[in-house]
Amino acid sequence: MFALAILPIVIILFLMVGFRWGASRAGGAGYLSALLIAVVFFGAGTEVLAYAHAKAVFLILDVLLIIWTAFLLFRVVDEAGAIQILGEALPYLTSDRGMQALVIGWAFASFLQGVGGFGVPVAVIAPILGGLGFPALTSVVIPSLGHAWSVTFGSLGSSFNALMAATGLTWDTLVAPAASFLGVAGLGVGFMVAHAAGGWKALRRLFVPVVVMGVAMGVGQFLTATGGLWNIGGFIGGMVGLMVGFPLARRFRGQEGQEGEVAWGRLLLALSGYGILIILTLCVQFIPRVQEIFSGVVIGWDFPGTETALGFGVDPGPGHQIYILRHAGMILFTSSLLSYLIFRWARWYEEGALRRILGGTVQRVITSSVGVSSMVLMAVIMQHAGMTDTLARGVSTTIGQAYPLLSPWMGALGAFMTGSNTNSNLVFAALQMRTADILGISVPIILAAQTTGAALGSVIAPTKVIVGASTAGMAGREGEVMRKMLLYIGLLIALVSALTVIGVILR
Amino acid sequence: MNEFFRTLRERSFPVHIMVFLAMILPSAGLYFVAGSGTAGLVWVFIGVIVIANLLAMMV
Repeated sequence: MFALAILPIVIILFLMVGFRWGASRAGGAGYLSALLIAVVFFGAGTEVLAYAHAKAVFLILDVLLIIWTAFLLFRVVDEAGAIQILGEALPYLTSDRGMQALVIGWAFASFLQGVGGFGVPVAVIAPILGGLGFPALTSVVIPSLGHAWSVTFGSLGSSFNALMAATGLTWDTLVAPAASFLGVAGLGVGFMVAHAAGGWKALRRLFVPVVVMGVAMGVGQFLTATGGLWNIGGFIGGMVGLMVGFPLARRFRGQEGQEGEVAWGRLLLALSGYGILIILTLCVQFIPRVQEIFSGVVIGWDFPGTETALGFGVDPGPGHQIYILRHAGMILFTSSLLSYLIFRWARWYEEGALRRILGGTVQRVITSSVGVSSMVLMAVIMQHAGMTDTLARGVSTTIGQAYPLLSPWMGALGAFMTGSNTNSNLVFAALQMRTADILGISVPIILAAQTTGAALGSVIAPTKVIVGASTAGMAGREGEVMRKMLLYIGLLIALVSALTVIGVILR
Repeated sequence: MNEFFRTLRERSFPVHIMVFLAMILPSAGLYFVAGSGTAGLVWVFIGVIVIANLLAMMV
């Protein structure tokens, strides 16, 4: 039964790695195999299947609302040329190679992951670093590493939202351990970026800036996320990194000194879209009256209990509910709308911008929407048929109390195979939760290990490496990028394994 | 057959939209169908979702 239960996951991983299928194609195969196995071997009847599918709808919408609107906001800002303005301003701060790597390849990459994601950090930064004279391989490796720690709370929190959706746990249960693990991983990322930029010499010379920036970014993300603003945790973490990095960059200016001036007015206007996002998020989260009004509209259904022919039961209760007006997706949509009006008022758009923004957004998100839908449907069917439970029992029996060591590697494997932290959380989070439950280990710690491992593993996923390599003119040399990054990411995941063991012991 | 696959891939954008809707709408419909207790209709809806996933694999 264990081999049958794990088969849909194996099929997805096999198709994505062995045959380089995208998530939308492999997800379809995973769904079909899960459905067949659930019916034939796990005794899932029509009632189990019907309610599992219906429950999945709200999980899918919850995840996709953020993915759609996060990309819409990014397109609104990018179409206005604001991302280019930010990218052009940063190199003027310092001519020190190491500091350029830290400020642009680490802090700015984390900021871009916070607001956009979807491969944007590497696509934007690799050409900038290449233009500054970094070798092509280093230009890809630095931003790929630099944004890794920011993936879970980046893309406006879509991966963290997927973690909540897949487990049914609330943000306040999951956020503190996840933000702590990611913060420590972020500090490790800083050292790796310094090493990638200039070897051990740069690492020793830039020790203080790395520690200062790393602590500031990690604490910034932690306080933001644990304060209830988890959807802008990665964004604020990156923003704090830039704010701390600017004065540090002036201090570590390099021998050539500063060249050129930063146009602060244009820079602030370029950032206005994200300023609106912060203000709206703060209003909805912290003004009780606004929160009360916006919590009035809830969509969701009540579900009866179900039982398979083999006797595996799911209790009755409300399914996943969406508070539509205060949903991060709605805040992002409003921010996109207001940002568009501001950039239009400032005449930063060229003819036909709205059509390009909307067309580009739909074109970009539709394939990932199909992939997310298939994978969520598969995960919920597996849960309702008792397949996830069978897997968890098998893993807990085989690995036992050493499970915390393995947990982040499992998350990383999922992300490596599926190309995304979100997909890894959707596929593996329920399994990790159930296994931790059976072993009597802290569930939030194990889920923090899952999502941190997945965030780190996602940056060495073949799909992401291919995109990164192509932006730096390294198409066809993806193997070099992956080899260079494997050691860095492996060390970081080992660090997370150690943190997980400590976390489990302390809880 | 190859012609069919090529046509699907050439029109991947509308096909993906159709596939997405064919996964979401019948899944939501299953909530009401399950409540009415008509097992035959459940399989019809699941059949649509299965076809949508098969299409997703082909595009």
